[in-house]
Amino acid sequence: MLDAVLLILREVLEAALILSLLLALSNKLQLSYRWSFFALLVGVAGSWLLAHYAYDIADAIDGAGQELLNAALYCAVIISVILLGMLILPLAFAPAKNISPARNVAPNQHRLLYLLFIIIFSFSLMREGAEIWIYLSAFDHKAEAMSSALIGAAVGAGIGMSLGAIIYYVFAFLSRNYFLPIFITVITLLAGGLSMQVAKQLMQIGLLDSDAPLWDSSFLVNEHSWLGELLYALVGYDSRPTPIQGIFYLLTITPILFASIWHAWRLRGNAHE
Amino acid sequence: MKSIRGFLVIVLLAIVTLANFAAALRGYLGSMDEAERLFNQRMLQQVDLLNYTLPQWREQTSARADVLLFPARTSDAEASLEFQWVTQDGKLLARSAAMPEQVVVPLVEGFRFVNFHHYRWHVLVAPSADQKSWFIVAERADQRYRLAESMILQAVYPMVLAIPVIGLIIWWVLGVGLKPVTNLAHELRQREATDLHSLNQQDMPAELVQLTQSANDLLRRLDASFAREKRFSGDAAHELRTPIAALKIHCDNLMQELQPAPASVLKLKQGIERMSYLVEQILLLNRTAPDHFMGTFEPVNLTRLAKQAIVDQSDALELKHHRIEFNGDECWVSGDRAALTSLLNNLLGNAIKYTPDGGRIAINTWLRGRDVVLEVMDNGPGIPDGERERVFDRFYRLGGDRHNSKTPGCGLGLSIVRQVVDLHAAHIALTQSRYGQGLLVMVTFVASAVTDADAKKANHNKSLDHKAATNETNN
Repeated sequence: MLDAVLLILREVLEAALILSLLLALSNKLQLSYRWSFFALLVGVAGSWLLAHYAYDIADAIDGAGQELLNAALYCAVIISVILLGMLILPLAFAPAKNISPARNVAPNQHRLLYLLFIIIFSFSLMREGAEIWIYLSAFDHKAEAMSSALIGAAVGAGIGMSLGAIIYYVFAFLSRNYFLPIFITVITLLAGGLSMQVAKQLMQIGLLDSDAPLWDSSFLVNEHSWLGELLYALVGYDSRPTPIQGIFYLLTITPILFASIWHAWRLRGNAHE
Repeated sequence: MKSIRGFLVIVLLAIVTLANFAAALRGYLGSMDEAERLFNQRMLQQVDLLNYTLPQWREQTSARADVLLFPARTSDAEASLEFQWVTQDGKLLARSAAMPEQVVVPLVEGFRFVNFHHYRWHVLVAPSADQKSWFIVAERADQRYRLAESMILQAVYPMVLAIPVIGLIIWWVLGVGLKPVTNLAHELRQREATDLHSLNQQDMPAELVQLTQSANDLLRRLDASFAREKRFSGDAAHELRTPIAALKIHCDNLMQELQPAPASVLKLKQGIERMSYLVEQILLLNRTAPDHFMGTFEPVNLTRLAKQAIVDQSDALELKHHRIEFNGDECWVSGDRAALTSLLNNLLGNAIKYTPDGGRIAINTWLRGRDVVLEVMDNGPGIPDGERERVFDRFYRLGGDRHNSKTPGCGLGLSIVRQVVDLHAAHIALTQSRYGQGLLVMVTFVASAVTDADAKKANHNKSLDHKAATNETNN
């Protein structure tokens, strides 16, 4: 049961965190929540399909199908997160006195925002969900073990969703001035974590060389401990990152980091005027 | 936060789930440790049992040199305990059927894990009571784990199943708790816009008492303010009627006395007429206000009223050389005759006033399914799109005081029209005239079913109208 709890919690928590963040952003930008139902539907259906054709996918492209597909899904999410960060950054750095329209997203960008929300959440859910389906399908013919796994899954999903709900309300109750910088920081870290996973997938199929890790922080926080799992779900924690993973991480966070510095510099310039 | 109930249900359920599942996990881990201890205890008891039986039995069959093989249990079991009996020098004396013929672990006292026969085994090595031999008791780790877990899961199941039940209970309890808020919102929603009586404070929970009191204070102040406003405009207009009538007479007298009348007297006369018109319009606006409308609703022949309005305004039409057209079906609506007459007079009056000399005006009444559409159309300057909503505001005139039509008006005509439309639950739309330029006003009413009695009454009224018209002509 404990294995099921940990595995499902890790997957559900990651999806719940992404959903909570995006819903809280919708709340702050006074956008509709309807996109989440559509994204949920696409994510669940997509995850089932990925799990159902898991063997075919794994055998495709000389046995590298699974890793390449995962990397593609991660990349789509990362690009969407960076685009979203670019759209939100001007709002976070808008002078506090401006009510609108500088403090809100232009109506013609709403469609793009909804599209990014759907891609980020449904693609993440597809990946996480597929792992859950595959895990549970392993107990198909073992009724006793299946019931234990299901109970574990229910406990893991319950904890993950509860934490997601609480995170959502914490963000929703935060003032906009605090929420936007926190949101941008969290999604930047999230995108950085995902980029390390892309590197990992590409290393697994030999497209990238896996060198010695940069450091080993497993003595501090083990990846498979509760805290490690939590950090993995929140910021893609890796206790033994390789130099390639580090480069991927830096490449991912650089656009948002530079854009933030540029906006901050412009805001300062405006304040002096 | 879109809903207090939704927020509380989700947050409370999340907290209960977290607490419940954290307790379940804690309980699971603790129980697994305890089960481990109990199973180890059971292995030690097994060693005791072997100690009681095997040495004596071996003595009785000491002649045997081979290994004693104990048969496997015949009945199915979820878990079984297996054993080996070994001499100090590692020679196997006896074993159960599931154990191999070799000694499975080094003879060092204690518990440990060993792999054999494709399984992982939990093994206890213990010396015999006489310290001359060793007992090795083994149990399959997977069976042991499953047995312990199935026992503990019995305690975890209800905790998981309870969550949806707890969710439903929280939902229901919060619904009951928030009932006064729902009732208050319902009471406010059900109210007519003009209903300003105080909210009921009986059985109101302490949290809502202050809110209700403040709302009641506000309603009282609003009520008093509306009453003052109503009284003031009605009374002022009514009180002004008499002095204006006197002014009119004096002005006429002055014009008679000063022949030819100077320009300033003519302007005075125009001013008095304008003031008189304004007072009449204010009174009309007051009478058609929904909160003190005194009329009676009855089936009314709208087509006839429209024709009558044309007749009533024939002088003005002639003065400006307008061409008037009338088309349409015989339409009946349920309404107040006087209010509908003022609606028609105002619409037609506006068309006459604002259409330049020699213009075209049309009045149509169409029966469209269950609707009656009244159209008043002209080829005047029309109203720009952006102004079409504002023209219904009181005292609002296109172009403000410098109205380019140079026609007298007070900006109340369309406000009166809107009030009459609202009184009849009708719908008004201002659009582009079909003449190419100008305004088309469309008022859509719900058609009224006409009975024979209504038709007779209408015919009777028609003959009375005709007689009155004849008398007027004769006079």
